[in-house]
Amino acid sequence: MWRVPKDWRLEWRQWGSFHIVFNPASGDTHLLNVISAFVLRSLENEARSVEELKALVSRLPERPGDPADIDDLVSELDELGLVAAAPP
Amino acid sequence: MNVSRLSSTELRDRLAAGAFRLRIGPFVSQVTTRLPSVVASLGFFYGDYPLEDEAAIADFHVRLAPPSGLRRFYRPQVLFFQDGRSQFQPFPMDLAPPLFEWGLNWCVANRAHHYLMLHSGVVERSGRALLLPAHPGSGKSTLTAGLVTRGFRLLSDEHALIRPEDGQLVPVPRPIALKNESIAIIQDLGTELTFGPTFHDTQKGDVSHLRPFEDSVRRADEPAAPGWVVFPKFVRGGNHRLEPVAKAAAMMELVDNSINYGILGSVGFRALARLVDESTCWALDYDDLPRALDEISRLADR
Repeated sequence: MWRVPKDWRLEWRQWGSFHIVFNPASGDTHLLNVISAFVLRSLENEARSVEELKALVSRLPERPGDPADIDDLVSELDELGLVAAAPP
Repeated sequence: MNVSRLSSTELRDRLAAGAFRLRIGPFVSQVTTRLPSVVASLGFFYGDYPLEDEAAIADFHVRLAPPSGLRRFYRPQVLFFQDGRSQFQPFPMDLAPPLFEWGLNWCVANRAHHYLMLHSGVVERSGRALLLPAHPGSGKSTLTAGLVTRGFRLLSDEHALIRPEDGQLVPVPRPIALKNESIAIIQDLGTELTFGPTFHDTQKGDVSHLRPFEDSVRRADEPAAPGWVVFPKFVRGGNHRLEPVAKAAAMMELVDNSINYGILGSVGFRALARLVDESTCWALDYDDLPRALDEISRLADR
């Protein structure tokens, strides 16, 4: 299970199909595409498993061709310090 | 009262006594020095600037003085002090006037954290600010000076100060620092321009400062709303282009350009995002200054 830690208040801006997110906990700013932003927003308010995220993303018109990409995406968000493992 | 109302003796005495409080936009600097070259430079560049009375609270307390010791007799040097502490290595004494300007830049960049600050030239037309964000050496001062000759009002050639509360650009008009070949290029643009002396062989090469127009100084309390962000890049012999930049890309570029974004946290993010929201964003590659000035002027006139 993954989620954005509860006490982090991410700041968002969207211009066209690109999203910018600022993480006050790290001071870092990130440029995200539609799917990355959707996944991150999905983890802001509740913990979800990668399988749940794949199911959510599959309903998007811009869904990735390979569901395994979501595994990589969550790993990247973890490495960027935007999400953390949450207890099940 | 403006600095020019002081006689040369009064100016010298006030500076020697620490009784010289200079207002530049939102900042008051208490300046202390006995160095004749700095006294003359302040009189020359800052004649149109208002003086504050001695009770005014100063944002910056600066002093220029030679280091103590025998060295002053065989190879004179000068130090820049902020709040009584020397902030840089000693400079050769003949660079004392530009050291004052560089030191004041340092004060703004290191102390004015109630603003979001960018490395950027800023000019204004019809109440809207045009920003030229670029790191040092990218030609932003040259473009800023060129736009001033085209009737834009100078807000700064060095720092964009963005007020987080309302997103306005706050002027801090100062002498424009030009380097190397830019000096002659700008001198050729207008006979009404007033330059100080050229200082040779500084760490930045040859340096000369352009005296700001009186109108920019008189209106230093008039902020401007965001209008345009133009990322300039001088490309010698390269293709000229002025093209729109996607706002998300502009935002990331401005994050990289900012002086204190990391310090301000969410406040900085919101201020920067607002700037991008309220501006059109452009990339300018140029090696022909008059053509670049023409295009930027047309952009601002649309």
